[in-house]
Amino acid sequence: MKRYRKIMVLLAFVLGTMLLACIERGIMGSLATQKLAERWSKEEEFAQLACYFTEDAFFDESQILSVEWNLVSAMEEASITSENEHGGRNWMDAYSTQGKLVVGSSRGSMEVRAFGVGGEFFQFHPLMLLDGNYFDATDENEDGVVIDEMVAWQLFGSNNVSGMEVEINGALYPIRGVVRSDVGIFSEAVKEEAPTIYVAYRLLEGEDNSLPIECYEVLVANPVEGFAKDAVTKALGMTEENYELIECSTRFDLLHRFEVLKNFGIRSMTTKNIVFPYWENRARGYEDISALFLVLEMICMIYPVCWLVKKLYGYWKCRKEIKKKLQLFRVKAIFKNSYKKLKNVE
Amino acid sequence: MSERKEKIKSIAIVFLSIMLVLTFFSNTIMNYSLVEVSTQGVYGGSITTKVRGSGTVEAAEVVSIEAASGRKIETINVKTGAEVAEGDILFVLGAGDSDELATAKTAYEQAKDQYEKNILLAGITVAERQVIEAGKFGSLSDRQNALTNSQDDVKKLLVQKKEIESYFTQRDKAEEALDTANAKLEMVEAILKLADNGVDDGESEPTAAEAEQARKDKASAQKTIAAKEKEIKNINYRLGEYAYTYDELNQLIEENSASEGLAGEFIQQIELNAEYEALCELKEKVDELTGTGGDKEIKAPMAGTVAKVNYYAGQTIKEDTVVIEMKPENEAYTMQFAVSQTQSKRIKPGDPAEILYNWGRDEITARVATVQRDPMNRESYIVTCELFGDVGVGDYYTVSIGQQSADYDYVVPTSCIREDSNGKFVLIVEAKSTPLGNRYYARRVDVEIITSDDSQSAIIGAFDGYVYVITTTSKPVEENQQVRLAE
Repeated sequence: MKRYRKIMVLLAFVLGTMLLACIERGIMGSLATQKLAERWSKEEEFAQLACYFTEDAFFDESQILSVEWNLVSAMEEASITSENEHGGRNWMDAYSTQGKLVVGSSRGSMEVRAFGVGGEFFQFHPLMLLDGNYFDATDENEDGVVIDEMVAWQLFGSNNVSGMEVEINGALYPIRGVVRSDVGIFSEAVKEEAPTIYVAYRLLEGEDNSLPIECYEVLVANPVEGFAKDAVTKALGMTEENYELIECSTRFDLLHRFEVLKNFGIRSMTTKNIVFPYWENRARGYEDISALFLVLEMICMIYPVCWLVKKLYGYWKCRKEIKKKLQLFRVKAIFKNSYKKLKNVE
Repeated sequence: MSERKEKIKSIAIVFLSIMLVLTFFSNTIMNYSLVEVSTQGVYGGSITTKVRGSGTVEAAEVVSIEAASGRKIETINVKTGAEVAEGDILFVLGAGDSDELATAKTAYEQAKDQYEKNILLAGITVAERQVIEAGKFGSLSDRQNALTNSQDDVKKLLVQKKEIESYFTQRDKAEEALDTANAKLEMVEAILKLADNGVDDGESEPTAAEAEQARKDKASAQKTIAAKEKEIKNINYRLGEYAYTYDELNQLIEENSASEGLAGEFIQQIELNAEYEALCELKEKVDELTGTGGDKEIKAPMAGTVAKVNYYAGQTIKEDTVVIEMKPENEAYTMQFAVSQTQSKRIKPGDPAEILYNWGRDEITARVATVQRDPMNRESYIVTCELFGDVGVGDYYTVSIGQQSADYDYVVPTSCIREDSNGKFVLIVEAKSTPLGNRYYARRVDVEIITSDDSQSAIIGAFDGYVYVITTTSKPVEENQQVRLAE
């Protein structure tokens, strides 16, 4: 009975570890903004990186062209072309900055959180479309906007509003799509549920070109570990004090989770003047949860590991007897076989 | 023992009941776990590509109404946006001599004094002065030709003078040789006379040889005298062929060599003429200012709309100040916006433009006037549109241009086009019949986008007959994954 109880306890701990791992995977898997590299290709290695700038960096669209150029050059040096034989891209980027806009319709107006975006923003942030579609860098008429369901509800009373117009700064802009906010565990803390509108970066930048870019995201082929991060660091060509570069595709790996645990005390400190957007704040919260799960998994695995070590130690101590038993067993088996053969012959 | 058996029996019954329930509801449970998708058929259709742009209206051409002289503004009779007809009074200036008139009078008097002074210093006649004031002293070409001719004449005269001087030298040499020959002849004749007539007391008689020599010398001297006389005669003849004597040539050369004087004379004429013309302009200005001293009302030169009023009544303005800006009637308003290089290829001057979001207002028509490269941005083009109708300066409009429709075989909503490292693709729904009912699977079809508008895209792909593409999903869907159709 005591033996069965031990086995039950052992099984419980192992199952507990597996359950925690599954829950952790399920929670982290909901972070679509960090999973572009996985979605992009199953055969080849890609890395998704996000760079957040300080206010002093004054990073703007003209610098993006320079970064892209440097990145393509670095890829060409490593014999990576911009497009593969299937016509798929081996890199793409997006940028965004946050602000506020007053958006109006015939029913009224409201002040909303606004993201001025460019590049392939919605590839990196595949918000769920309730109506219409996204806009991207290939759009020639850079006047479309994407609103979330809260804005749609307040201004129109419905989600089915793609093709209608909203008024911003006295001008009318067509609505390209309506999205659902990507809510999660820390939604309230990171204000994900604030009414949001996504507009072209130049619309938010305005006439005086004074709004710097806060976030630059890039997806790059990563044939060897660290290639993408090095290439992007070199392409940026800025001092480290002006930005924070994060490799999103590996932030929930086991090693990185240990890294988070290692920096437990200093992780909440910040020495750079960077304001992270809601998706990065949420990802950081999830990193902490992931580290917590790692701790629980490690605790759950203590008993099974100890039991295994003890068992292995016991076997090692009795190795001579085990050897003898095995030899005896072999002899018995040989004898049995011989006896059977003899009987068959008879 | 029996208690244990009961326990085992209960566990088995519970287990089997659970399995039974799960079996009955397995399909339902499975369906709810599947990703829900909405689909749309792939049909042919048309895509209309448009170029949209927004901008603020500006007046195409503005006429500036200025004050001819600096005065105080008595009244301004119009406001911004007012429509005026030709001849309507726009503003009224105060009466009286202006500062400009006094200044102009002073300048005129000073210029007149200076001109008269320069005329007297030049020492020219009345007739010459009249020629200068009339400006009839010949064209620049004529004067240049005169200068050139004068210089050519001098050169010719100098050549002649050199020739004459050379002849003089030759003649002098010939005369000298002649004199020498004459003197020798006299001497040898004297010797011969002595030889023929005998000698007087105290003189020695020349010998026969001396006499013979004397005869030879005489012949030689006579010959020389004849040659030199002939030479001198030729030289005199040639000298006589020249049009001028030596002294006359010198005089002519002296006269024509004063070409600096000729150029200086021409320059003086020009300067005096310029001074005279400036004087006349000042006079005209004085006359004008004096003439308009009482002219206070400034009228509209043409029908149009007042675009801007820069001053108000009571303000004092300077001469040539723009008081009012007017937009002439029937002139188009313009609006500019930037487009990309690709968009610029779809637009050409003369294309009609549709004004968007213009409900409830009078009709406004627009057309493309110019498409020019943006000097500040090589990749951008500036489109200028002309607007006609009830338009005001400062209005903000959005226009749509270049609506070109084309039909395509496969047109799908843009939202259903996805992309990964293998390129763009759509997910279509394939149905498979099973004993438990139809099951639906997502299948990938690689596509290429031909063109797109705000909501739809025309694509090329390997579609077999009628297919349904997945437009939206409740969760991410992968290829070959089973899905559930939205109800």
